[in-house]
Amino acid sequence: MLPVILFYTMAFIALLFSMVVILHKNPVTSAMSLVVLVCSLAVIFFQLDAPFIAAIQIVVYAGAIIVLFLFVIMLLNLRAEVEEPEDRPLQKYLSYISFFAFLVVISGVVRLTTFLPERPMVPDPLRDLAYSLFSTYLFPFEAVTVLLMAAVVGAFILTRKEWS
Amino acid sequence: MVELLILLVKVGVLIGGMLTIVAVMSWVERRGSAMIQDRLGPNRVGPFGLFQPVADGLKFIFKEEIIPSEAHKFYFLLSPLLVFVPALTAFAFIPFGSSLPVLGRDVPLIISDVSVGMLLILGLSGLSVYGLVLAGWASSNKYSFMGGIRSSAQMISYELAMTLSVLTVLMTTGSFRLTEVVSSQQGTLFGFLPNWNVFPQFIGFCVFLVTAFAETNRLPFDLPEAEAELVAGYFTEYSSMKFALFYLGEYAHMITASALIVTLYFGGWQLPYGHPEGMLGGILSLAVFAVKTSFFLWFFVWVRWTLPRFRYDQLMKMGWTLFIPLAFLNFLVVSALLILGVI
Repeated sequence: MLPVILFYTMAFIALLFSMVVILHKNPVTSAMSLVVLVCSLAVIFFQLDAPFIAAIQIVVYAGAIIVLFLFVIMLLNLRAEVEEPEDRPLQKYLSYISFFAFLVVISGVVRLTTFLPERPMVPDPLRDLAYSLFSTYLFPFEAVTVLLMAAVVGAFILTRKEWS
Repeated sequence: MVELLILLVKVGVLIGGMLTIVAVMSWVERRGSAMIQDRLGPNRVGPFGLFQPVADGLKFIFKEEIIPSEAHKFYFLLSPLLVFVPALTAFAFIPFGSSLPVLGRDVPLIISDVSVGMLLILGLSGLSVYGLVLAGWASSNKYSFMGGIRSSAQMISYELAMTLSVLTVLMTTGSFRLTEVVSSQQGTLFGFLPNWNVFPQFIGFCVFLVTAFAETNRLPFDLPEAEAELVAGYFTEYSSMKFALFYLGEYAHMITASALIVTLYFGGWQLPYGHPEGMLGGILSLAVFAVKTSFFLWFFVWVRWTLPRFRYDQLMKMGWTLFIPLAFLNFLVVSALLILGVI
């Protein structure tokens, strides 16, 4: 019973704060809501026997990426957004249509997914993850590292002022 | 039901203990600084001034609370908590003793022994930066703001080196569980040294120690509050109990950092040459852990009153061009030792 209550509480918090992220006028509140969202997702991952992903969610997203978001928001001194005075009926209806189309796609995917009857219990999920990363998925893993390296070098070149 | 009760008792004892140590530490800090500077320090309230923290606490409660009119009220009130809570929570994953036989059960002296304990501690130490950044921003004061911005840049830079230096401890242990980190440091190294991680991973230990100072915002890394440049940095506008919470948060971070250093590099709660079992072992483990942790707490005080503050550019340069390469060097050395089978 307790896991079910916990799941629904966390799912509710996640949904609520993801709404706040996109709807709130103040960018700082949006960023902080993103932190709450990430933490509630981490709890759900914990429940799904994926403690590594849960911890990584907190370390990478809450601990690093959103701090950088906040840093940029504060440096640019973004104020609360002002309401747009002009009325755009076309965009409004287009957004309604795309929202319902997205809803149809999502519910279709959920219906098509075959859920496992029971969670397979892995004795040591971290070891399994490490072995599969460095054996089965070695090539995609290395490809991602090369991509990240390219991004680092690119960022370095873009921000460098002069070549000495 | 009994399990839940035991857990609650453990949590209560740990939080109470930490708050007590925080109070004692504030006294140690002031008397210690006085000793280093050849003064007397607070010696009027109680024997040796030991009741000074109580007097300070009372004073904090009766001070006037001021919230600046331009402040963002919600975040202004939230941020002291955001500094304090992660530091307390991180202690839940650190084993502070072996186990005590109580009521026919073996109660392990750790609150939550999860398989990713070390990662969660790193994550929580990353979360504590929000308190500092938001405090600086919500105060609507340029000095506070500068302090907040500095803290976020400093934390992110030093977190990288810290994580890299912890990595080798986890490699030699083969687990993220801190109880296994402790038990892997049993026995001796080359027959005479205790098998503590500090000996084969000395570079990693040095990097971790320095980055722990940076993460706790202690001198020589207290750039976010640098009173000579920024009044008091991110907590300039805070008064009364909210100021006290920042103060508590800093000391709670220090306690957690010291406990973590002991657990990762100095064998945790174990005696160096074999640890007894049972009730005696349990009580002894608590004492050993307390002694080791107090040494590092004193070390924090000692360093603070000995070294001057870095300049901001020196701090950033050191983080990126000295500590991260050193952490990588440590990684290479330990990997080589592991492959050769020395450790």
